[in-house]
Amino acid sequence: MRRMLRACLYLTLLSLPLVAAFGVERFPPPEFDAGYKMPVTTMPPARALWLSYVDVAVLVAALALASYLVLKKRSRDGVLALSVFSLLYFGFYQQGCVCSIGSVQDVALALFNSGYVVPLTTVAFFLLPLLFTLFFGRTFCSGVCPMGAMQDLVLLKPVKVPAWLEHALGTLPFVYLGAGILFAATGSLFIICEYDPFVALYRRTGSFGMLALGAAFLIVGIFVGRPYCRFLCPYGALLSLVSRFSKWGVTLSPTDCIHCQICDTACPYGAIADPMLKDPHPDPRKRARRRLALLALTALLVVLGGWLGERLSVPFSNSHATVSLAEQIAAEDAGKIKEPTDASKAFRQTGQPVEELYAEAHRVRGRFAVGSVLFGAFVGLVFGLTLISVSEPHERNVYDPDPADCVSCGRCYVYCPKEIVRVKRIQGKNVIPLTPVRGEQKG
Amino acid sequence: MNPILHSIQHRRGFLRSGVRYAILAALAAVAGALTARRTATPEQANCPKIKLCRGCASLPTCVLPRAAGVRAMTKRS
Repeated sequence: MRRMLRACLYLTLLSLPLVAAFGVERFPPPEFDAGYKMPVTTMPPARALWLSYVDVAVLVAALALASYLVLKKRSRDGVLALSVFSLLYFGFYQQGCVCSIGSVQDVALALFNSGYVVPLTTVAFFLLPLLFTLFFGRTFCSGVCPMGAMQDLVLLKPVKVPAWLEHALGTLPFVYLGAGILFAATGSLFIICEYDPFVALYRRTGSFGMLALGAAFLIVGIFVGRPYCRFLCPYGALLSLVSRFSKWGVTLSPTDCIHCQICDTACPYGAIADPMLKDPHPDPRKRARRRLALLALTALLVVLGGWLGERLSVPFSNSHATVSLAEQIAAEDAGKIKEPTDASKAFRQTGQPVEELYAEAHRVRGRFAVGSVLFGAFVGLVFGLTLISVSEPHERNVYDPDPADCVSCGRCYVYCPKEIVRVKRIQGKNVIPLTPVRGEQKG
Repeated sequence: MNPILHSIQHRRGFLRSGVRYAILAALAAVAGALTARRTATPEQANCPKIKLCRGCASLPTCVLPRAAGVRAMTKRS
């Protein structure tokens, strides 16, 4: 029955873009004689202020409910129902804006640009999921984020991603986060919003590229669990960092694990950390040498990344409107380009001196020079720390969800035989206690 | 429980709590900094020219005269 419901939902989601074809303009635009073509609007009009506050209230309620369902009730069905609600409300009704993932850019822009005033609702959408994650783990990803919900619902035939590929692709969200912050902080682009794969589906309109990207992620998502969340989501990267230090989180009877591995097989996101009973490098001298080598390699990667970032700062800065306009004007004045663009024509009509434009472009390039070096060094650090994390043995003797990777979907609860017995036993008392994550368990 | 293991777990728990409260303080600082920016006057504020006013998430609270004009137009229509 559940499979049939999922299949129906999946088909409905895939057919949603077709609805746009039947759209009718309420107020048709005038017909221009000059051959002007009306641009396709991809952004919805701004919501009324009171509706934005309603959105924040719904977000708080959904986060609280998700945390309750995942940690106290331990109900996969509840999480599934909440996912459907979040997809409908935050996705199709709210049209995917404001979203926590995109809010990273607003916050970055506001922090690095004193003139940009970021709305309180955007601040709330950025901070609230992080705050909940700090205490309850990634319950935002479980059933509140509409992008996660959409991918969770289309997952029909999950396949395991090999560990080496998972580790390699797992660095991409951090790279994307760094790039998103760089371009937003310099006031150039909101790349995370621009390449949002599902926003076109929520709005049932958009360019072919956006629709194709969304459809591709959904098709891959049938076999690979949450491809966007695991291998691209920049906000997920932030949440995975914060959730390492969360007070409570998803755990599976950690004291009496029987190593049946059912939870490991059931988790479609590869989030169950395997136990490591034997240290592969028991010789302490060898281990120390290995650690030193990895630290040196990380330092080298940071330097290399910084150097590469510096080399790329000029191409990066061309994405800024002022820099690209200055480049265009300079090329026109030097006679390299004969045909002026609309932007260069408009600039010349303002009568603003070219020197002022060049000075502003120079200032932007300076910001990019610093930002690109930091971005490159950050990427090098991410690669280095990933190598260290993969190489270092983790002391663990049970199968348990990794707080950084676990999206709190609750699937493993219904597969762990020990957990089923434990919940049944405790349900008699009508209270299921919150379980602290590893490292915080009382002896 | 083994006292050495207990001591290690206790130390880890303590460090985790410390980092957790440090993150909490950082989030509070970000919230404070962003809220303080809301007092910017139209003269101090500028637009990053990333989006058009109509689709901009900042439109309801934006202090720039252009945004005020768009809000007034939206109300009239």
